Amino acid sequence: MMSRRKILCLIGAGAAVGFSPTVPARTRQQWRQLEPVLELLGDAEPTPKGLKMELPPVSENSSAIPLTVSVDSAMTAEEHVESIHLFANRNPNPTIAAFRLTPLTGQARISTRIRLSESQTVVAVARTNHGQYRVTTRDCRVAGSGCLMRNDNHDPRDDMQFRIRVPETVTRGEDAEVLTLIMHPMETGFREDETGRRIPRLIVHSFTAHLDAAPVLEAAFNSAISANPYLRFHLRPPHSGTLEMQWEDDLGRTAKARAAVRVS
Amino acid sequence: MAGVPISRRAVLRFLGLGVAALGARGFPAIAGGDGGHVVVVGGGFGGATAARYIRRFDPSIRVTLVEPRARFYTCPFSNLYLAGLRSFDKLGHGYDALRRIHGVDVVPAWVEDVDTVARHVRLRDGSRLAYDRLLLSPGVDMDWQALEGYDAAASEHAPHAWKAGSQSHRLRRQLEAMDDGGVFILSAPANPYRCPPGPYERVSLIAHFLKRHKPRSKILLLDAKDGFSKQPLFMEGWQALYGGMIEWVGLSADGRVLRVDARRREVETEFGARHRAAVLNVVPPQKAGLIAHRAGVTDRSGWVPVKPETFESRQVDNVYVVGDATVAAPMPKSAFCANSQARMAAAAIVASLQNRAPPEPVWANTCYSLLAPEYGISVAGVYRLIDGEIAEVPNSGGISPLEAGSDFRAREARYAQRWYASICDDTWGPRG
Amino acid sequence: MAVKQLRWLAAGVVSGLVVSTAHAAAAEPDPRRTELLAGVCFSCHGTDGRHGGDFEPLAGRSYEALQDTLLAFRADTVPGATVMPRLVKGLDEDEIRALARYFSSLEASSAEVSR
Repeated sequence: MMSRRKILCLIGAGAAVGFSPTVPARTRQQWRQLEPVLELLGDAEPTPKGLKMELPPVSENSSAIPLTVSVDSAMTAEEHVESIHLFANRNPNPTIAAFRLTPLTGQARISTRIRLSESQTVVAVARTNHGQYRVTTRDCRVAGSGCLMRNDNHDPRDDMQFRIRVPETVTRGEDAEVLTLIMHPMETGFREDETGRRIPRLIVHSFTAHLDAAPVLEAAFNSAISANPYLRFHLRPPHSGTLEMQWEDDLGRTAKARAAVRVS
Repeated sequence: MAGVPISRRAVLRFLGLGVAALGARGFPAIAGGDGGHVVVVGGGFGGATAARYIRRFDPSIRVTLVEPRARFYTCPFSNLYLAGLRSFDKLGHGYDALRRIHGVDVVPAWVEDVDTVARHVRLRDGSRLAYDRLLLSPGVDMDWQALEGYDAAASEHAPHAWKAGSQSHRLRRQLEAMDDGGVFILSAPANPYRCPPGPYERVSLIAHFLKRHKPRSKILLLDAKDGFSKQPLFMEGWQALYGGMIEWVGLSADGRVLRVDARRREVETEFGARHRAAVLNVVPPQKAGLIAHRAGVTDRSGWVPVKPETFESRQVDNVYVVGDATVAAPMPKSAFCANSQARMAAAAIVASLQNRAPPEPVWANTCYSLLAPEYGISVAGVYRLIDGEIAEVPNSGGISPLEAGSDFRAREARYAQRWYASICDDTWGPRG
Repeated sequence: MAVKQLRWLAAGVVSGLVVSTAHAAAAEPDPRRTELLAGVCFSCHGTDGRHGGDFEPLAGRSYEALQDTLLAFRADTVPGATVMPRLVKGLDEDEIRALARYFSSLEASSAEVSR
């Protein structure tokens, strides 16, 4: 644990050269070097319009960095944000997660916690239902500290246990916040055990939320989502119903949560 | 100081003292003696150390320390006071030695504002102090916007006691008045905040107090983190010393407090659990002290980014900032780090006033935590500049071993006491 | 490697300065650098290593004793050691020798017996 932390810390420091609080143009354009971003964009020329990412400039715990991404946009059938994608340019696997939104999401605003292997630029891409793209970036310097060493005490018996917070009542036409957390180690697939063997990837790879049968939100997670995946999103229910949520991990294990939502 | 002949030094010292003794509060136009004038704001571990060491490194520099309180009460060891193991008075340190022995001009005043263009600070009485270099050691302020229901008024019912003073007394009185069998709740914030192991030392020492005086009581530590400083050592110690008295609830177990009802002494967590306490101690999220914001050295994080080689502000020239207010990760926000950063910043300021390059920095940290009066643990680290950023020296540092004998823990507890005496002496000079 | 490079650069700056003053003959590293390095010790062992009690006073001890002790800490051969090995591993051998020279050249405080 010790040495891994140290290595991360050093890599982190090394990568931070040239970073400053006022992000130079070079890093603002970092996404242009990111293959998966270019693939996603195709020929589209994105703008940063309305897309906002909150990420601390410095993190002392690179294994759980709070991230919120939001788009200032209507969320109606005619005009809404269709998907949001997150990338980290220096993670072993740059794709962090992707979210598919619907008008039922009510607000294009998602919070989660991510892992960064070193100091780097996080890229968010949003796509509207009209095929327009938004891109924004945030730099995060990872500064591990011996004073903040974490205890990796994972108990497999807790796997797939979840917590949710769903509003019982929502005023018609308004949206409400939904919180979810599922216990899971989110084994990255990049770690080695004591004998030098690679520990296979074992993550929760998907999350879905439906109001009755209608999709609200779908999320595809990658290794860069922190252990015990955490998700905060919005819901604008047009009518009373049941919010059904489901997670699935690489072993095919699923967890299902249900909560009644009343519209008043 | 390389190369300045002793005799000239003696003359400079004499001149420096002379100017300092006259005081320049009424003469804002005169920026300093022949070595320059440094104004230091804040008389805690960072500010007092910097003032002393600037004078030590170059006595021709006039140093004015602005600190409104006659005595500084330390956060380190204030948990001992909460547990009834140390008198509050023994946490206090005055400025006589800095004045008498080190020739620092100590001005008891509040700094209202800083004009970093005209290079002066404005005191509450309207007078101004001109500076050649400014060093801020503002410490932290509680972020009253960060936690719903928790502001200055709420802290009178549910104290934070994260600055030693009236808040500490309030919490101590509440603990004394608590019924046996009550629940003490501490809500700990996410990083970064002052003193990473502080909340865990606090519940340890309060458990020590409760075990002796109110043994049926419980302690609930609600945490906005999934891991914390010296965690395995604390967990081991809690089990050995206090059995099941302390329950820790981390972030993923819904430990993050989002709402406080201070009058009811009730908190609500992220996923909606409510906990009611007999004594509620809320350690809220924090930010750099007010004067740092006034001086324009803070960034969107609420903390102060500094150039690591000197601890000069990244945003404002000639303003240096040390201690808890800075973004110095991986160095923690500790008294030891503030003292270490201040000594380096003092050398950098002296070098800058002498038109020399700053010295190559090396910093250290040692944080002792007491789980009981005879049970101490530690974390230590050495830090240097690696590729332009502060980094822990590879293969150095670390925490006390797990499963060490009671003699080892007792020794670290004694060292903690000794450390406190030494660092306070190094910061404020010998106690009068 | 980066550390080494920086140190070399710093040494260059310092020697330039020394040459520009009357003390060109001094082969010792910048005394301020050693003093600052020693500052790391002050927080526990007292300013200039003059505090005693449970910590060893450092000022006025012999160069050999200081060097040997520090090297032993670094090699993890001091039984029951607490924070010292963790801290000394952050220093290189030149720095350990500079520290030993620094503290051995200081007078012990009156309250402490010099060894």
